[in-house]
Amino acid sequence: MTSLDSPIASESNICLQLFHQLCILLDNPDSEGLILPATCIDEFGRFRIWGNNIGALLSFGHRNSLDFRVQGAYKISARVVEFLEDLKEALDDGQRI
Amino acid sequence: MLETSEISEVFDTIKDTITSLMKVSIVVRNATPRDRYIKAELAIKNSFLESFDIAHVGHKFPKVNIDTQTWLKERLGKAITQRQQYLKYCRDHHDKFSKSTEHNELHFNLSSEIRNPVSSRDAENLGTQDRAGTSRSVPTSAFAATDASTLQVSKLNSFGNEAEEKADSSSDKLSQTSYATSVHEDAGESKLRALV
Repeated sequence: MTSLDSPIASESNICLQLFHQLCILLDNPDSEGLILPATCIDEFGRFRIWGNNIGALLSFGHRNSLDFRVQGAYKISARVVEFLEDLKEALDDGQRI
Repeated sequence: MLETSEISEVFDTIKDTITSLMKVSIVVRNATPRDRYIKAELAIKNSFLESFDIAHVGHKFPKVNIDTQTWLKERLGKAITQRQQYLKYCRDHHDKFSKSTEHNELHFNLSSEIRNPVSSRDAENLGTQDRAGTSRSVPTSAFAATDASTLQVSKLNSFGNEAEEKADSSSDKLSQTSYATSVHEDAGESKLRALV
């Protein structure tokens, strides 16, 4: 799956990995801050619920994928990708801290 | 200290972004036309045999057997056949998804597997219409585009109310529950779907 073919799927998968890493980082007892690991896990869960529900995690080859469904509506897919990129950025920042 | 407040900001951003994603997916969902399309599509798949249902109508309502009323008998019979096809389709559809969950890639934990069959089923409803022919897939997406663009503006104003109304109006036999609840109670959403 090339990232151009199914941008939503690839971005979503990246976010999944970042979430996972972030949760692992927070599990480390040193890094207790204002953020409980449970919070991160909750957000991770919400993201996964969203992804599963809407087929964001399936690649373009699948008929159920969000990439396939927003085929004609580029505005929507652009927004989704935009949101996913925001999420990616936030997760990156979170890791650095 | 500065770091920790920064990370809480980051997490707020994360939370809001996910909420926005969910809003978008509501829009996507509402914009998919269903119901009649699916019924019409079934006709291609299943074998015809309208004559059975037409004869059945004739038996139940003997008055319809007069030649002048043949059209009525045929219409009723065909409607019954259509409904039968639709129900059979629903059943086949459901079976199809109990298999497809194995193909789904996410195996993070059990709960995501439970959500998978529901999500792919709902999505497949849209996908099947596209399968009817390339000519149909284009209007479906174009429909989504026009619907979505009009929905956007109103959604920005009243999120919760609109979402519930639209969910009711587009309800099908297999349709999902109101999306508004899922934003606030994630666990609730998955439970409701399992019942459907």
